[in-house]
Amino acid sequence: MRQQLGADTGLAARMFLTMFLLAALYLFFLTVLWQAGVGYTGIIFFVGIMLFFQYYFSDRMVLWSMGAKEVSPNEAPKLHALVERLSALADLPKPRVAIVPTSMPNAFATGRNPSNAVVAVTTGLMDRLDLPELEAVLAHELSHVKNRDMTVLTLASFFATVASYIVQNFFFWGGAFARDDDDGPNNVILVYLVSLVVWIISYFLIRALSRYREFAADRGAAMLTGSPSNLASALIKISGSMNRIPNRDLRQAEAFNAFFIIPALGGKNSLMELFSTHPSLERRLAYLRKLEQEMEFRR
Amino acid sequence: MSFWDALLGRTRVPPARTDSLFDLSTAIITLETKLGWKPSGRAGIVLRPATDSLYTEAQGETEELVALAAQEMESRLQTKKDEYDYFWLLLEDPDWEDLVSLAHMAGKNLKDNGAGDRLLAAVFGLKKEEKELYIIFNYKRGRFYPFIPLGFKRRDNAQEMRIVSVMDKELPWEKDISRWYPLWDCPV
Repeated sequence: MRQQLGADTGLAARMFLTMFLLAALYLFFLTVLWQAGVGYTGIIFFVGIMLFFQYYFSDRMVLWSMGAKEVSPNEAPKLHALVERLSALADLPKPRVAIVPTSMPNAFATGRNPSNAVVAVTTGLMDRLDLPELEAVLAHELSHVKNRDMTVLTLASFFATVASYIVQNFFFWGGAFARDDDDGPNNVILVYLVSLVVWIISYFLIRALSRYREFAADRGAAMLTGSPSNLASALIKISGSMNRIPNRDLRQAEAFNAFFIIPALGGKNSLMELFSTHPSLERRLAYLRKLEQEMEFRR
Repeated sequence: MSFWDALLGRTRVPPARTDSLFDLSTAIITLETKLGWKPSGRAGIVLRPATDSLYTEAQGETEELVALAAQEMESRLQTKKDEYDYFWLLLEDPDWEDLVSLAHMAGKNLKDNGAGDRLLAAVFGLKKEEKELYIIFNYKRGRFYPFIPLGFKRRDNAQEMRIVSVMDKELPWEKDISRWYPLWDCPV
């Protein structure tokens, strides 16, 4: 009998390990901050509020910063029909649909929860892909929504953001956070160094987590559409034209945790991949090939 | 979706539910007598085909089974691929009961062969004067909703609401109206 594609245990294990390491790192970081005195609760509070707003209004902020325009079913009937059908298959509420008027082919999804999600595609994407490929890309974005990647990555990057604030503002404030403390300047230097280390390590862990979430969304797309190859051919088409087109304005959107189908900055070699939010095209194609085989030989 | 599924990024396509379809066989009485909608004699199920060979097998087997049953009930069976590459099994039979059981059989058989995740909807056609009404069954939710198209991309929301209010107790209706997805140019 045919069996539906299930979860990828290996991938889930790697995700769990990454999040476990991140949690351990953050615990260590918090302990150090705690030992250094109460001067740091202010910055945690500040980052908390900032990230909360970014998270809560992510759908509107991304639409605004990317110049995306929400479209009605009458304006983009096919796009809406594809999204509706996929939402029905996945039992998700239908997200809002938006179009970004740029020739660069890309797509992204964001929003704090499935009821407030937005899925956007660029006009360049719609021009280049045929309908089944467009469907596969939309299924990938809907999987991000279904897996709640926005929430997971916002939470995962919370203390990393705190650490980066402490490091980046150190010279500006001169360690003013701990001014009330009588332990002297040594403490301030220690907090600075620990924050720097936490920032660097968490950077790589969060990137790794983000890449695993991409694989998971590719898997979700394969489950929703039933055909991994459609996504593979879409990725090939998009990335072929991605590398030739400059992408400065997409970088700013990275701060909003938008989930692009293809990263704005393409990493070429394996060392570069450590710095990347997305797996390389080769790895994703290999993973999709594996999915195709898994679907074929599962019984 | 559970906490762990979200944390570990495990997407799940919910299983299809087919049993509520039989509620339609009694619901037709109210539709005809109180609301004046007569069966158009057409129904269909629509699904998103997968590429794996086991799916193709399941689809072929279901087609054969339904074709055999349709022959027995003197109904007609057609298949169609729409513009979004979705696959339709289209049934024609003047008897409402036959349409319901054939549609149920098709969905149930696909589900039993492990292709339940591919099922999108079952659609039943009715008509009143010039108007068409489609009762759509969402397999993933196990719920029904009405769809009355009016020309180009417009639908008769007032009539749709009325049907659901009048028949509130008779069918498991989709309460969330944002999930009343239209099926424009429905081949049923």
